[in-house]
Amino acid sequence: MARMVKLAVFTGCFALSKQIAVELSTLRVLQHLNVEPIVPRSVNCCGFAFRGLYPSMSLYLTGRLLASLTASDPDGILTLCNGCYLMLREAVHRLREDRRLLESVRSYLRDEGLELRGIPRIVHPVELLHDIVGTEVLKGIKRTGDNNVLVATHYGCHALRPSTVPSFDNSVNPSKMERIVEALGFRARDYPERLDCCGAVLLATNPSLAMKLAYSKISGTARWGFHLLVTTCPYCFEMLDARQEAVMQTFGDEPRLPVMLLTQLIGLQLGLSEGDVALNLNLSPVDKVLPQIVRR
Amino acid sequence: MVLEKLVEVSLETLRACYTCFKCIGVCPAGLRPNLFVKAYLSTVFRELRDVYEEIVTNSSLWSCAKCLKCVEVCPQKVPLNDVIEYLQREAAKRGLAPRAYQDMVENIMGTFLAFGSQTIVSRDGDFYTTGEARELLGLTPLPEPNKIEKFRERLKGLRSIG
Ligand code: SF4
Ligand code: SF4
Repeated sequence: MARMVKLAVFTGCFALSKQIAVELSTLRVLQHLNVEPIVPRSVNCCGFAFRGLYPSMSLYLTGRLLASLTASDPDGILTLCNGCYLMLREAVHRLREDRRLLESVRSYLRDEGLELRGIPRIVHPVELLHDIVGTEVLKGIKRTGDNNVLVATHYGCHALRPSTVPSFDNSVNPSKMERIVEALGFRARDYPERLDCCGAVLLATNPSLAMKLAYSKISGTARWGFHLLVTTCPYCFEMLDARQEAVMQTFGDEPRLPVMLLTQLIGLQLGLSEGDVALNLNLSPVDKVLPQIVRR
Repeated sequence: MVLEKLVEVSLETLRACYTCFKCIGVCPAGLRPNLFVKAYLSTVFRELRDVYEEIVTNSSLWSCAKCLKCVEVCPQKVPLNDVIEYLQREAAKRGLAPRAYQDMVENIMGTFLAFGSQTIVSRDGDFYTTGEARELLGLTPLPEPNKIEKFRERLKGLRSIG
């Protein structure tokens, strides 16, 4: 058996404080997949939201995070939020290319007694499942339920774009999430809204436009007959799951698309209970699809 | 210190825009990203000053969802995200930045995180605070703001330079 992979897990502000099923289901699932998660207590915000307004502050925050997360010398950093993932993969990319910038960040951190030794590998949850755990292992998971369930994948903008900063999949035609879904015994299919934006970034500055984007994503996806949509990002999950009812009602429509975290779906396939993956916190109509996934 | 003056957008890349309007076609927020390019160019070409004024003072800058579709579709590889962020900083100099970002920075200065405790609702209609829900599910408590003074001072310094 391969050596156990050790990953520092960075949950991110929003998943820490609001969408806590993200961290819970990830940690539960990793116990079964030969991955050792380290969850450092000393973390800070990655600076994503105000990166435009305060670029230096954001880079410092991201650099500080890199230092805290690599203190335990992990094989990589697993980022659970797409916003944080973009910040970290971009910082790592820039610091690799620009030694002066790296030295500058280091000297800032040294002042605080923090050391940024190496530049770590930044790992997205989809990358972890597809490239590190591997679809062969996922195929071996005990399967419950019915394999006619048609699943829509939602990667989220900052998992893949901009393609000028390396990420884990092709930015215009990604496929790793589909392969994971298929390995789990479900069907996946491309759809026109697959790479569309959930609108979450606009919650802070233009909430009504945020709702409009979410509506276009949810209603667009729902019309193709999917039984379930899966995502990994806590912000996308907030817009597509938690706010689905409000979003649909704003436009005189009804909630109708069950949404789960990819790690919740994997957890259920592993035979974990609904409580183990905090499925009671999903607010979209997941009851519609549960009987087809979990054999009771 | 290099951190104090992070690279701005290069004019060379910006001149590459040949007004093909592909970015307009993909923008889910209904914006015209190519106009942001024009506004940015006004820092060199004075005749574009009107576009600059218009863009920096109107709210479209804050209606960008950061979906990065425009960046991806641009055949000339214009870094539209950098352009938009630059213009947002220009607007902020005039006090036009939304309050929400300030609040997040303040929160980070006090707790390391952008958000404090939230209300978490279950499908059965139960309400929990973040702390209660994390404890119930066996997750670690949120990080304690220990030894935060130095960090706070650093953020204040960096806030003043952008
Ligand atoms: S897609 Fe690029 S080249 Fe075309 S109008 Fe937009 S910024 Fe200009
Ligand atoms: S990044 Fe902003 S301007 Fe560009 S397409 Fe998305 S919403 Fe429109």
